[in-house]
Amino acid sequence: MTDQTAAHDHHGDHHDAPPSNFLDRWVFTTNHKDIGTLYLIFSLVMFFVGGTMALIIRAELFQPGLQFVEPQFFNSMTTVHALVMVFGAVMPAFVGLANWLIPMMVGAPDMALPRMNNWSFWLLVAAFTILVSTLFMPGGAPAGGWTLYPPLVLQTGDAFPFMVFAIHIMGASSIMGSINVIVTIMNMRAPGMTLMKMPMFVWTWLITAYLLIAVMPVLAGAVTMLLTDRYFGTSFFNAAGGGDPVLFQHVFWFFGHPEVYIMILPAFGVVSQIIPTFSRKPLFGYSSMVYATASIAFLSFIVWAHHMFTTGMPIAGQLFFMLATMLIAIPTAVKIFNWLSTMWKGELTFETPMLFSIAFVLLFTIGGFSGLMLAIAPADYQYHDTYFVVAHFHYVLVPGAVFTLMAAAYYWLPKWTGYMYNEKIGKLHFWCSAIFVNVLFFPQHFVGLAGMPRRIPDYPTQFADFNAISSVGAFLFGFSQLLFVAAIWSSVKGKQKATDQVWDGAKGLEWTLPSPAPYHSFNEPPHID
Amino acid sequence: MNRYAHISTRNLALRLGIAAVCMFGFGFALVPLYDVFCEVTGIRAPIEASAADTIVERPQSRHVTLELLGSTGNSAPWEFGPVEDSVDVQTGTIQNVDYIARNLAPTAISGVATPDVRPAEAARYFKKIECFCFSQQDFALGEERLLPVRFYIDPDLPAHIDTITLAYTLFEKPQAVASSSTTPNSVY
Repeated sequence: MTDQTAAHDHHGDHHDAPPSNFLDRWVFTTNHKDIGTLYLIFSLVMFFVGGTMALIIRAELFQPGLQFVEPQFFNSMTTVHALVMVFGAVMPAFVGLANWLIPMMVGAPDMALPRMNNWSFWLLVAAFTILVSTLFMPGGAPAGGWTLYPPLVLQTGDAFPFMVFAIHIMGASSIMGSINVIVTIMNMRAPGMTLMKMPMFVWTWLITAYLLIAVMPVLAGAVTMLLTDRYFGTSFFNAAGGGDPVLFQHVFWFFGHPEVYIMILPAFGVVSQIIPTFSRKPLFGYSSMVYATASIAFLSFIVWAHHMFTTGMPIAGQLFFMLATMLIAIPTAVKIFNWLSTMWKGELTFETPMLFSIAFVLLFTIGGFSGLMLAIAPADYQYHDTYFVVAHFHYVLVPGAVFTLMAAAYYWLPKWTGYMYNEKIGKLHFWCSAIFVNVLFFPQHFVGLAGMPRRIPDYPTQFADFNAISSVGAFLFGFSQLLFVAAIWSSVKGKQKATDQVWDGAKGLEWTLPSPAPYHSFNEPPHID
Repeated sequence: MNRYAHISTRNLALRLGIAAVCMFGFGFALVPLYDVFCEVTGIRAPIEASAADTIVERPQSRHVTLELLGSTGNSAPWEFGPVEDSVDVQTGTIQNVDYIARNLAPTAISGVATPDVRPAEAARYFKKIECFCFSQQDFALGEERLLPVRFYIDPDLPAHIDTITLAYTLFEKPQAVASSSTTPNSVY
């Protein structure tokens, strides 16, 4: 996207050009568009790092028996794959979108706290340098699962304090990013843009940012307790000193459940921008979308123990968490039906962003339904810690969150680079992804229901066929993502210039700007009627 | 700028930062809250010694099998286990069983034992009168000694239970933990 400079000169408008010095442009930058680009590139790199780990996992699971890797390394792969994908790919990608889009959508010249913005990005790079470096430490990378349950996680080798420190730093980065988002939205909207006139993407990010501020510090607290248990003689989770390992699960999931909504609420926002554009109709039920998002965020704080039904909770507790969890289906269904109603009798066209969005609505709903199955406490005893859970959360995260990230990239890339991406590559990327993601994850439901536990490098031969199908799907899905890189490249080095409007049905302030968006936009606030 | 600012950018950022710091503290506050919650709701009732004089023996003809287990946590350096693996117990009478522990460490060590009664339904009918789980156990170098348990099985024990398992896990007490609020006695 460095040719933004060149493309920008063609427009020859009155805006200042970006610094020509590489360091000033990309390292010390405080420009929301540059920082957004850095976040997006970082998350794409992490997506491939985490994806490579997933392929190592699927290669090992292609057949029963131990083929390629040691069990300890296999466990490191499952653990680090999850940490990288959650904290390094999905979350920073949404922060990158927030950086690029929120100021343009609310008519602000930049984020409210640009220097902090720069700092939160570079802290993230530091955190992941540390986390990935644990792969080369004595004792290996963390291998106790991304949920970091003690006492197992306390047996991590030299990597343990580095992992904790990496989580502290990425938490600080997320919190600073969230503060920035909230302050920008609350203080820098253009005149006339009341809260209830904000685009849905801005609304979902506002709520997500509050969730992040509420729960990232709790995770920091939990890993700090692990650290002091290991090195400073405390006994928070140590039965010998009067602690309780189950306490960790409570503290972790108090963070962990809102965390899963942190990864999906901005995805809801993205889809709520794209579906109206390609349906050429306004979003159906805007205010109900806002209230549904807020309800989901509230409910996320009172359902954490549904991850812990098998820890020996009393019946009353299981009932409460079961019912509270099922309640989340209601605001989520409100959103799904609103998207469907937006498409209903619309003038639909199926460009790549729309294809990814429609696939999201369908496949996320499948993940939602398996979530409802898992919410049923008595049934959960069968599903707990099996591949059914793996299938469930990959359905909501991959064809859920990741598909919307791809949709967002295709949708806004022409605005960012000034050139259309190659639609043929985009469509091919979509169809490969949409088909292979199901080949990859759907069979995991079946092996899970049949009792295959998660996080194991070897399994009984009865599960062999479905695992082989799943592994084939994984490799096809993984290599299909090179098409995504090709599509991005086709837009960066593009031939076909994008119009300012880009999509004829697109509404919103960002489409009133030239393509590519000038380095400094909305120095004069637009007025919203 | 600050077109909608009811609070200045600086102030709002500061307030959100303080909120994040408070949530960090809240994470730690969950630790005592968790113990309080468990005790108030009876999820994890503190196991207390029943004084011998409050127990009126009501010898019954009914007998149950008591299976005894002993293990060490985190490879604690003891040889530890029950003297007998299984005993036949007459309900309604005060009984004794012994565990035996020998220090294998090259130094004097201290330990804490945590008890567990299964099935959980039987726990409230299994009354411990004297139990080495209530206090810290100090072992001199190479010391071996008997650890007695004195108990009473309430005859109201549900009829379908004919076997009770009593399991102890002996942990080495971490050296630095002496006076925190989570001493073993407050929990067990």
